[in-house]
Amino acid sequence: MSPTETRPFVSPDELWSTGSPLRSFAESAITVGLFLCALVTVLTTTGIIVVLSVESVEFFRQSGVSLFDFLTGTELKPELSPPKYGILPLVWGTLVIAAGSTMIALPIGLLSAIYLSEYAPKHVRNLLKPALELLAGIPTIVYGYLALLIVTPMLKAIFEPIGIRVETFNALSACIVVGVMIIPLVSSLSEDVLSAVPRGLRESAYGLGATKFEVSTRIVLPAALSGVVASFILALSRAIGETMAVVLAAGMRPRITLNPFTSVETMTTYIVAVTNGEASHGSPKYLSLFAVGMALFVMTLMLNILSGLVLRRYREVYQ
Amino acid sequence: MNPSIAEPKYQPHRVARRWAGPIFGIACFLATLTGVLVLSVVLGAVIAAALRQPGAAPWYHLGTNLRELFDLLVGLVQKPQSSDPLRAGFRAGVVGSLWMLGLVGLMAIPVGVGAAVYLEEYIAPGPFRRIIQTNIANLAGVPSIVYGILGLALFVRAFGMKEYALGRTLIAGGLTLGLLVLPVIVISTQEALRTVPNSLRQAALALGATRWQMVRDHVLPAALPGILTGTILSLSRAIGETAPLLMVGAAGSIGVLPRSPFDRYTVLPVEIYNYAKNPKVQFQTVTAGGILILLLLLLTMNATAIIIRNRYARSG
Amino acid sequence: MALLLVLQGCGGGTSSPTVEVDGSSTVFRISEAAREEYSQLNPNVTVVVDNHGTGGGFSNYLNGEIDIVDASRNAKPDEEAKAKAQGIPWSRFTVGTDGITVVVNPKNTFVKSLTVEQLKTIWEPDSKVKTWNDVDPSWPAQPIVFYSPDVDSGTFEFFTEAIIGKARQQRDDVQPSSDDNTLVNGVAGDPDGIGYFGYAFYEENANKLRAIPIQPNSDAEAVAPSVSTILDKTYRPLSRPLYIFVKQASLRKAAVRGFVDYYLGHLDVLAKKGGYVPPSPEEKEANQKALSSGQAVPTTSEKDAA
Repeated sequence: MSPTETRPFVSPDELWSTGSPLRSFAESAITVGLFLCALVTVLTTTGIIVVLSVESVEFFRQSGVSLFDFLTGTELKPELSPPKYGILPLVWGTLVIAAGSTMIALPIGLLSAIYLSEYAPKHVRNLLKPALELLAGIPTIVYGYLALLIVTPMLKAIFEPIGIRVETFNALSACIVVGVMIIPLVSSLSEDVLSAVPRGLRESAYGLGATKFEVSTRIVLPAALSGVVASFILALSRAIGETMAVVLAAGMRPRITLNPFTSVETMTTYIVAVTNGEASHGSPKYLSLFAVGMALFVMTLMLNILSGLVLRRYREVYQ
Repeated sequence: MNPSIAEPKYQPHRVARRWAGPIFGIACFLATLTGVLVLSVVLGAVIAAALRQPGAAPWYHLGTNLRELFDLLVGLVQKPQSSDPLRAGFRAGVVGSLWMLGLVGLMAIPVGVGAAVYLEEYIAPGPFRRIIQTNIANLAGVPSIVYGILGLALFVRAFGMKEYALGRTLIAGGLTLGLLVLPVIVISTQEALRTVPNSLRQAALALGATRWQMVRDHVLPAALPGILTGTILSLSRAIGETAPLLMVGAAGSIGVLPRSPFDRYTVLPVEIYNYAKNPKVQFQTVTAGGILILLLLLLTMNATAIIIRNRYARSG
Repeated sequence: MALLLVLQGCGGGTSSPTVEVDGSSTVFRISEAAREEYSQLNPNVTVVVDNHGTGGGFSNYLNGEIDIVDASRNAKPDEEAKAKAQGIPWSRFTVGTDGITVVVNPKNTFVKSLTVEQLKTIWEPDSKVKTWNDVDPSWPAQPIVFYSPDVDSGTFEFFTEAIIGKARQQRDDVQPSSDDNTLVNGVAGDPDGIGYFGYAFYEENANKLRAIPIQPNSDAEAVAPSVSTILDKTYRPLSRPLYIFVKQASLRKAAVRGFVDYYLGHLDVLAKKGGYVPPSPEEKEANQKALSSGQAVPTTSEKDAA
């Protein structure tokens, strides 16, 4: 879909033939400036990798846990002696929350975006789109308390009469709340991309007798697909990295379970718990948070590389 | 050809198609409504918690309740931090959050838009660009607390080099949050730039504009609504962040207001977080009031950006 | 970019004399009250209090970033060794006492008291206790729901060390939370719940909870937690002292000295504001002695640090 794929690439030097040296200097200076802006992102990643690696290496050295045990261990019990530092329960918790929340946010977000761009009258759209964006700004701790004080009691009221025990801290609450939190990421960004599809495309489809449903789903959506998928990935990334809401809603019990009504621990909540806790800095328990952080970083990197590969096959180009 | 004997693929399916549209439309509408519904529930719950006084007027006395709410919030904004719930307020947090908002916007928006422009307009698509792009997408998913760790090591402590260390100051926090929101700004700006049709660019170039002139005068204004969306979403996130700021030095308890970017500070979410942990029951009301102040701040911020966005929106 | 480099050149810091305090979120409430009162008397001194946890407080102290550590536990031997090695020894002062209260739901009327032994069987790792009946045959056979502070909390560390005998070892199937108010709500809403947290959280919610008197051993009487029993240390073994560790070099600075003088001189009011019991008269005397002598109070605990 990206226009840059068909646009002939013109180097900045060839762009202007007459012009003062001042303009040429300004042009180069701006190019360099913009390059430095892009460089900031690379430096950020470098910084994160450096900080995490140095301390992770220290963790493995001090605790004596092997990399294999860390990556494949299913028990996370730093209090035992010898301590067990298996990361799989945390990975499982992260995946559960990410999957559950995106299952809620992606359909609702996408349908909202389609509604706002295709169906809603202009003044309704101008009212509802900012309202949804406000959801993104509610502080994450509020979402956490929302889960504890409203969602979990609601779940208890629904499920306990039929005999399912709902714990005070459960994964389902966290999924619901994080899902709601990331709806605006999908809806607002997708709506922007959907609205930008040229009107001509829609008109020609209507001219051929398509219904609104067909135009929305078979013409407009595919044209905007890469932007929509980009918003999906942004939302998924946010869900994986969400901390405070999950801490308050899902509790902190690292384990691999399929029961959504019980507590889990994710990689991010583990990091927060150790950071704010009473472990003395420099102890293996404290250093383990860097190792977990590194694992999380690598995991999201692989996810992004994979989705980048998949996306490139589905770009649609239009002019 | 008689439609009823045509292959299923070519039949008009008039009835199904006629109904698919409205049903789909209703589904979309309900989806949108879900988001708005949750927003109302959250607001309602927080307002109810803020107003919970014994003997208060019943909830439908809107006038009295709104007036009481207004007085409560105005009072809270002016009072400093205190361990006494009757004297406690969010003065330091509001000022700190506003400072933080300004610093983050000032630093992250130009750098983010600049990076996006560079990636979209100045580099050819190819492996180099793909790597940077994947890198940025990855950064968007790094948990906020990792940015806190980075900010602590880099800005607050400067990897141990004391002369360059910024200490636990506003600017260190602003830089940390700036890095946090940078990926979102870059990604959404890039998507906005991609929606600008190529014809616009080529027309500008054909008239003799330099690349930067084309970008500045034609592409950016056309992409502005989308850029603003991304900016709004990211600044909203920055203002609600707690964990990374706790790590880089937002104070748990502070009495003075910051007067320069090099002062100690605290922000609204951190104050809310600390008040919420206090055992005294009256602090729950104070906490709810703080959440409302934060939401109002957000609303104002969003509204301003939206007005700007609507003014520049393309009608096509 | 250039802006960043320029900014890096100017180190940070507030203009007026600053006292930096950091550490336990438990002791935070006392230090915060001290800051508030002191700032009203002395507005030109800036006091900043953070709560990064006791471990975080000591770490920041060893990095040279703060003057006072709030601590809900004693300093560990390696922390103390590092402080001495870097030439920044401290003085320890007792600023209050907290009594960890074991609570159940008010609907639970059958638990009259608990001995330390019973508590141990209830909370120990791999415990066989699943219902109230398992603890005492005369109690109903309802399954117990356990609410506990999370594994990184100082309260958790102290409780497990005092009751189970090994720090941070506890049964697995509990509902952990880093927020004590959440634990309060949990037990208050669950007739089968049992939980523990600081006394202040019980006191504020006494109408929603029931505190259990604790019997230290089979000869002693069961003692309920209250301000007086925590003060005279008869509520055992769940009373714990709360400390601040002040850098001795900082005590030579007028701003810090003034703050610490005020702090230690008004502990009755300040501890109470924080929701704790003030230190006993003997502890206050020891504080004054440490303050005037400028000697480091021996800070390693008698039993081995956890």
